[in-house]
Amino acid sequence: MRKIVIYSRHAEVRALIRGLLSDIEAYFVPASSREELFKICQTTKCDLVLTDDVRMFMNGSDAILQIRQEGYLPQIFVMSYDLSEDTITALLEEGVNQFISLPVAPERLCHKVATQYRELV
Amino acid sequence: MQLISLLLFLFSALLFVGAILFVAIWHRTSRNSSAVKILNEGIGHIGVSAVVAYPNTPQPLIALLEEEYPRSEAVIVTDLEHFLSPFGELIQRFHLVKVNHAHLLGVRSLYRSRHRAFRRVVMVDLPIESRHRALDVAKEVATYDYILQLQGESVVAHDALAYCANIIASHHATANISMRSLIGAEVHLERCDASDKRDIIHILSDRILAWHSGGSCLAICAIFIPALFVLMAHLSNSRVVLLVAVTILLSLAFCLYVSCRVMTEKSLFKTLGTILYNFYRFLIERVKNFHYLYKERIDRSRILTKGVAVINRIRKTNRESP
Amino acid sequence: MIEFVEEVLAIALALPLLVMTIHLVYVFRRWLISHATVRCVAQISAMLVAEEEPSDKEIRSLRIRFTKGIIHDAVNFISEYIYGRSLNRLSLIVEVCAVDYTPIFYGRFGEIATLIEAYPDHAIRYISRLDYPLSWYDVALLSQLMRRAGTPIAYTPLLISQNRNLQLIGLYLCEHFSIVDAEPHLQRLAGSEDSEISYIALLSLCSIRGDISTSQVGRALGGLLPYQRAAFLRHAVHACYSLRSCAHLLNKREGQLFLQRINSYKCRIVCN
Repeated sequence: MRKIVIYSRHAEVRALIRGLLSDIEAYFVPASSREELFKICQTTKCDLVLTDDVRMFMNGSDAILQIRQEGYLPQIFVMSYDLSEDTITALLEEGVNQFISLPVAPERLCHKVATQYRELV
Repeated sequence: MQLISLLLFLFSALLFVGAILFVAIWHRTSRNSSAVKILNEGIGHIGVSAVVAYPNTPQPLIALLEEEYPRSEAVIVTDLEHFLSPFGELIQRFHLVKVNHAHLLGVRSLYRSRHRAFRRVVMVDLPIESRHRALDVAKEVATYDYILQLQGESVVAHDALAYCANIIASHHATANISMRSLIGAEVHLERCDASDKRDIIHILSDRILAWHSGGSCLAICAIFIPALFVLMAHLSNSRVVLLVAVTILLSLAFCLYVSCRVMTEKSLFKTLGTILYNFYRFLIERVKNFHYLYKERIDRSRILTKGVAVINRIRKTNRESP
Repeated sequence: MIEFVEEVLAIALALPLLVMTIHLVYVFRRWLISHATVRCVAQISAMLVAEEEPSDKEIRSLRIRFTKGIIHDAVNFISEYIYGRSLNRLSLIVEVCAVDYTPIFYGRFGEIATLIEAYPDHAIRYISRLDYPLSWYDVALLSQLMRRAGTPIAYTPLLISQNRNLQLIGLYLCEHFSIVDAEPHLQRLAGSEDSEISYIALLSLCSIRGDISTSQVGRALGGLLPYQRAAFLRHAVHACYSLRSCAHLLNKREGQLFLQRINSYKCRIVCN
């Protein structure tokens, strides 16, 4: 079964995303801090990282390298309110795979995640 | 002896009044802060460039990069000749390159990033002898209209720049904004291009600079000193000393009430230490600026009443016509 | 007297302990509430994506498990993150649980927020009847409110409206969503008699990288105050306009400044 890591500093956000993706058959792993996220990505093979922490990729901390260790290349989906073209381009340049703008329609979020892994539906 | 008792009594009364004032003003600022709700997205063309002048470590810059408001920038002014080791690494970290700076007098070099992800980082290498020009140089290189000046050791609160953008958008766009916190810390939001400095809006807010952390020792002393007073009162049978002790403890209670609402610190003693340290700074500030009046440009109660009247008229019209 | 002093002494000694206990209780209560809110959010979000619409019984069970305050916080939190058809289900939950939906942070727009939530199609009408000028912050807040309520907003009627507040909302939307098709309207508004509308229209034109070499923009620039002209130049540099596109609008000193600012974004490449 696919492993999806949901990272957010706010427990409500993690609970919300988990609830919205309840139809998807996958193993969900919550992470509440960056260090925890990096540890999870380094120790286990996860397939998808869903996060709302945009600044993690834009503060020079090489978060992408920490998430994508050798052999493990999870897809990274970022959710944010910031719709500016510059931010989207910057994140895509950094290696983020998908950018989901908030507020999001639950069916759209499910569709985006499910399209990535057809067997999850 | 009586004079000492009287002085002690006056001191405790002032302390008590100070604590009540602290709580009252804090309530007022928190009401105003919640009225300016943080919008999650950018507010059109409103942007803020935060300037940190000669910090000791790169921490203020890193903290500013955590800001989620999209139209924000962090300008760091430093002297690379004297502080190469902490700040030289930033050049590599953020892929900074030297850009043209011939028009900036006295500036050794100007760095911007080649990566879009770090486009919000600007570093200015200005000799420390010219630090009085730091703000002027920052205004020249800033991308956005407003500059938030921060001193090197200032700890910026979470989403401070978003709050600044909200304040700018709420007020008249031409004015500079001076924000003063309870503990006297002042930050200025200046327009980069305004020549008229007389128009200044004063706002009371604690949303920009985080409160300084106090130690646990301060908290422990704060509890034992009144206890000592109480013991002295018991031994000397003095009602005044007892009153002083009770007053100090009541003041402590008020401050702790504020700490419950503000601090997220888990350690009780550290919370108590922080609130006491900032309360002490608040008292010093009030003594220094006894006549200072906090001016607010928007009379919120008046606008609220007016707004409600208009809404009632709309409702009435709605009921009459579908 | 001695007993009185001893009583007061006992109270005074107990006071720090009392204060600490209150603090601990408060921290514990906050922890409990946040955990309950998280569970409530999880439950509501599962209801939103369920195939079948939640029955009144299921929703009432929510009301039994959680207090009104927690449901209110959870609903407000979720409504900031989602939109679309799921909001209808959320409204159903709000209705059955009898929760006050309007967030307190909308302040003076609390009443209008309620109206917009109830009748989203009439949002523009309600806003047009406000007889006080909106600040840019108010405009952003109302736009967010309308988007949250799913109000269908067309920018053209807003931009051609005579109502200043509606024009501001139209300008905000054009800038926020980079609506390039609105360029002719922005050019027209740049020539508006209202200096604030004209200034914001110019900045919006910059943000969508519209044509700033037109005579309308030239006339509008001529009417700006010096600091507004300087701010416009700053925006134009940020929007990557070249000097050639607006050289005829600027005087010699401004042209020089413009070029210097553009150059400060470039580095010289030396080839040996």
